[in-house]
Amino acid sequence: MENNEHINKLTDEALNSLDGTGRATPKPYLLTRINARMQNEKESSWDIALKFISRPAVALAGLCLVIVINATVGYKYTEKTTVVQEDYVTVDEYSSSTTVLNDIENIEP
Amino acid sequence: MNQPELIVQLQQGDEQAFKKLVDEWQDMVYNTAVSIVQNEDDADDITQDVFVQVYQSVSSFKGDSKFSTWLYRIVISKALDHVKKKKRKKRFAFVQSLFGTASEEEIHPEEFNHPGVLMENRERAAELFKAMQLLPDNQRIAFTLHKLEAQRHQDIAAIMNISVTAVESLIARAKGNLRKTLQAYYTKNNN
Repeated sequence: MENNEHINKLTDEALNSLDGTGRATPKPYLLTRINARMQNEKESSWDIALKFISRPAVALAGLCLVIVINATVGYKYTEKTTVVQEDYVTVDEYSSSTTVLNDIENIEP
Repeated sequence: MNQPELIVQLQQGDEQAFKKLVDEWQDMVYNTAVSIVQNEDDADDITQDVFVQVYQSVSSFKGDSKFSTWLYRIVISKALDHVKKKKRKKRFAFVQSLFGTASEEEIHPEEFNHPGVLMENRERAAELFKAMQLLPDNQRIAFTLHKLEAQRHQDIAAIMNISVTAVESLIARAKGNLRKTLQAYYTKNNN
């Protein structure tokens, strides 16, 4: 019984321990620290550009663009190569006589 | 310079107005933060964060509520975020402790002594602060604003965006829960 009263007394003391509490104050030069933090948070244009590029949507769109350009260039190159190969065939067809002439000229006596 | 004028100047990016704002509100912001996070260094960080946010977003303050209400909401939101982050870190530290890599401070933080508490009440107040950590967020905020910021129930209702009756109920429940926790603590430590 006495113990309970003692516990209740301690509990009441704890519950009332914040009565008369004053406001806590921050460390001096708070404004200087705030200004320093704001300076640090100011980003350079490169940081902004990097942040923009690293966005998943932008990165994915960029990747798709590279693939499309790559595919287009690849397709065009293949087309060009085919035309060039056809040209070679034509040259081969008409060059047979030249080869024959050369062969004749180089025949050893 | 009255408050509406100060806010207009802040919205125009006036640095003198910002200095005045910091001078005027720093104690309120810091005291609220330190009472919630119960760590002076963390409260200092939060105070800086709050003023940076105020500077950056003061243009969005339309004057629908009192400036102090708006400011209290920012502080409380940042402080609660911090508490949640710390709890997550603590859980992670517990897992780390199983492998013996967590520091002792991360698992068992030091007891908190609010700088404004009267010297003769320090020991009891530290036990009360420990019990406050176990309260649900809304009870904790209502109790803190009432006890440590001496806010009226109407003002707490505006800050928390609830009715005055709800505030009274939250404070009563907070006191009941604190009483239970403290009684259990003293019963355990008294024998």
